[in-house]
Amino acid sequence: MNNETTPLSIREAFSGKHLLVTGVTGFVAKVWVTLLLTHVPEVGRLTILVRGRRRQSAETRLREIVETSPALRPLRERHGKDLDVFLAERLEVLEGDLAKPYCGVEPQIARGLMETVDLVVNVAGLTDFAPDPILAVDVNVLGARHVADLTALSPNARLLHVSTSFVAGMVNGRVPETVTPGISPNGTRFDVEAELLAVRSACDTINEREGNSRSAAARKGRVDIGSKRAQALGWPNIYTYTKGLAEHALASRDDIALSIVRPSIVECACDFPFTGWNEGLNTSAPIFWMCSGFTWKVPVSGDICFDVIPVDILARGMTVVAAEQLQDRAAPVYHMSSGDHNRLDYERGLDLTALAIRQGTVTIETGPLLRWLAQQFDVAPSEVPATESAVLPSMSKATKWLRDGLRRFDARKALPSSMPLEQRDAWHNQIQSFGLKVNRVQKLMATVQSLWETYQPFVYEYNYCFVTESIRRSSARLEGEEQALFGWHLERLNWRDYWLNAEAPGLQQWSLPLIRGKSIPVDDGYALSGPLRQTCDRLESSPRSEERTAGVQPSSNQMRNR
Amino acid sequence: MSLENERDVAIFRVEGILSTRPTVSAATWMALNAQRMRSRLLGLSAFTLSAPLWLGPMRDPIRASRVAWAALEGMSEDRLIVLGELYVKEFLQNAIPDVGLRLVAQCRAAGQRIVLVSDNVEAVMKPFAEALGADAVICNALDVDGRWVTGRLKTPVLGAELGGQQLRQLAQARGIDLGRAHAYGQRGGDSLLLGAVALPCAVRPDRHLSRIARDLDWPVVED
Repeated sequence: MNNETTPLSIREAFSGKHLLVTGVTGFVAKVWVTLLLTHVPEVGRLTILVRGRRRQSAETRLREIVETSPALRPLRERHGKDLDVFLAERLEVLEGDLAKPYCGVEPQIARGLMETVDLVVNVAGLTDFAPDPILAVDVNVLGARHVADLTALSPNARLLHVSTSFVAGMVNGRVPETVTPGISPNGTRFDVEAELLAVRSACDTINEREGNSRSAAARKGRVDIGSKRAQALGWPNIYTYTKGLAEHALASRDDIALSIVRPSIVECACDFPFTGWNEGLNTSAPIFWMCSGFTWKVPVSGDICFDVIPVDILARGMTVVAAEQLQDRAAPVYHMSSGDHNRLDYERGLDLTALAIRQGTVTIETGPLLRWLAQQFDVAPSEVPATESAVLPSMSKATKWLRDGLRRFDARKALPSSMPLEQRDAWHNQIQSFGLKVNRVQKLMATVQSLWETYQPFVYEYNYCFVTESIRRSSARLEGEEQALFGWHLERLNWRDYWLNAEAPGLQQWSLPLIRGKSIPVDDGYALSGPLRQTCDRLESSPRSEERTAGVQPSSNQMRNR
Repeated sequence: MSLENERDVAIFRVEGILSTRPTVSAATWMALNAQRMRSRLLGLSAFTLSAPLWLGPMRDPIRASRVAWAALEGMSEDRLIVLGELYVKEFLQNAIPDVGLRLVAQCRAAGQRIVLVSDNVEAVMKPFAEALGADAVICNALDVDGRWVTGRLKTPVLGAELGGQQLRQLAQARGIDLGRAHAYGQRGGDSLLLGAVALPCAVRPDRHLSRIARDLDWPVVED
């Protein structure tokens, strides 16, 4: 029986195993860890690497997540007061920083920790499309490298690295599940080290030129140069560029057993931890927001694939991949996406978004007349790219003209002097107040235009079809209850049902308030009885701690960046 | 839906008893809520063109229905279904005449299964039946190709007058024994339906049905 047909048991694969997980303060990892602890309690230990903040230690940050994050509701509901005991047996916190060598973990701790780690799962990453390239390199490229260095210290050196399917770059059509180190999406040969040096050097030049690296002009300069470098190699933006560099850096190593998971657009949960759960501002939230009242023709091409994957389906897929890795039979790359077997395009996505607005599932926070108007004018693709669209730029210019005119207008001088001064003052204040509203609308339009231009490669220019053979092949190996719990069933997802009953209400509750400047409520009423266990405490109290502290350091070869 | 048990059936003609809105109102409203402006204008044109077929000497309800629903050609199935639900919520659910509600409640209390008959389309009737707690619905359906509405009604097309062979076939397909069924109608066109069941009842009948009911000794419910 070959690897592809041998049944896979998730519970057996994870039983007693020790995993190191990064990125748990983010959306995907929280759901995945909760899924694992809920459905695979046989897992031995999860060491969660968390960066402390100035006023909040790593332990405090993770404890706060356990106590208040809605993502962990299934655990709190299932275990109640016994969650302390459950977690004490399975969870520990490790303070670290991906931006530092060996993730900022002290050598003796790293050595002791990695002796027993069976699998490292790296979910950490910066997901802004146009971040400061220095920060993006530090987190997405060097961070991945530091995690890999740590992984290489473990006996089996297994690493599951979460990337993005959009590392495919500026291409159209089928995207295979491969990575060819040293060849960029547009076929250019490149060296990751040389590229990192070039980016840093270019950014240093910008900083020197501007005189102040923290200024807005310096940041804009760095983002521009980063974007140009990305596009020169065939990646549309800094995010995909840095995630791509990370993949190439990892894939060229021979000291780790690597599997890459490439999710597409991760969105609200179908049913785990509960229907609609989402966190932060992912891709669709700004699209929903932009569709809810600003314009009814959006610069999107209707037949471009809107490749969405609900976060719980991704988490199930990650569990299957991790299980295969623990059995040393994982594939090198897994796309986690919908486009090749249950395709949603932007035409349909926008139609469903408009219907969600009509239903009142997504509310438009404006006056009743504008709300009624917005509900009458359903969004549809304009089939014109944002950079060539005349609608928003024209509206933006018109409002700017109006705003400037209102600012210059002095009603106190324009109105007849026979009118009492108080009345002329009142009119002047009203007009200026209206001018402030027009100013806010103008800025909003500029933001919306900028967002559409950022999204343009993905909503207008490139029509991807990510091949998902690996995960579907792996899923077929599951049997019985595990097939139901962890199987890849995305082909059964009814997009209308998902969009109207999970995605739209989920974004309305968990994401859109952020765009509107409001905060998201957390769960309250639960508190752990004490601090979470910490890795350093466990290692210091273990019999081998003296041996580790007696000068056993990782070798200079291991410490040097590869 | 198939009714696979021995309980008696109460068949309600929706138009006139459970809804005072003509079917064309749903078609027009949906057409006017198409995604694109161009489609909405076409919908308005279709409604205008079909008007003579609903009224006056050229009256042909089945053809009028076909023309009205043709305006939905090119609409997505998603939109059809959601608009159907919204139409029911906004215009039908809270506007059911009291006599209709009372009769449905009485039939349900007597252990009868409720079946709705309408010449409206499934996208409207299905959510309406769910809202009313009905057990089955006999209505028209729009043809869908892939995920786009073709604008054509699936055959057989049900008109305002349902009876004879068409009614028997539809009843048989749904396990309805007309020989034990109750039926409630309001218009003259419902006389075929009422005449085919064991226990007919005219509800606030129009002049035509009132005369037939009187001639055939059918019970009449006014309010």
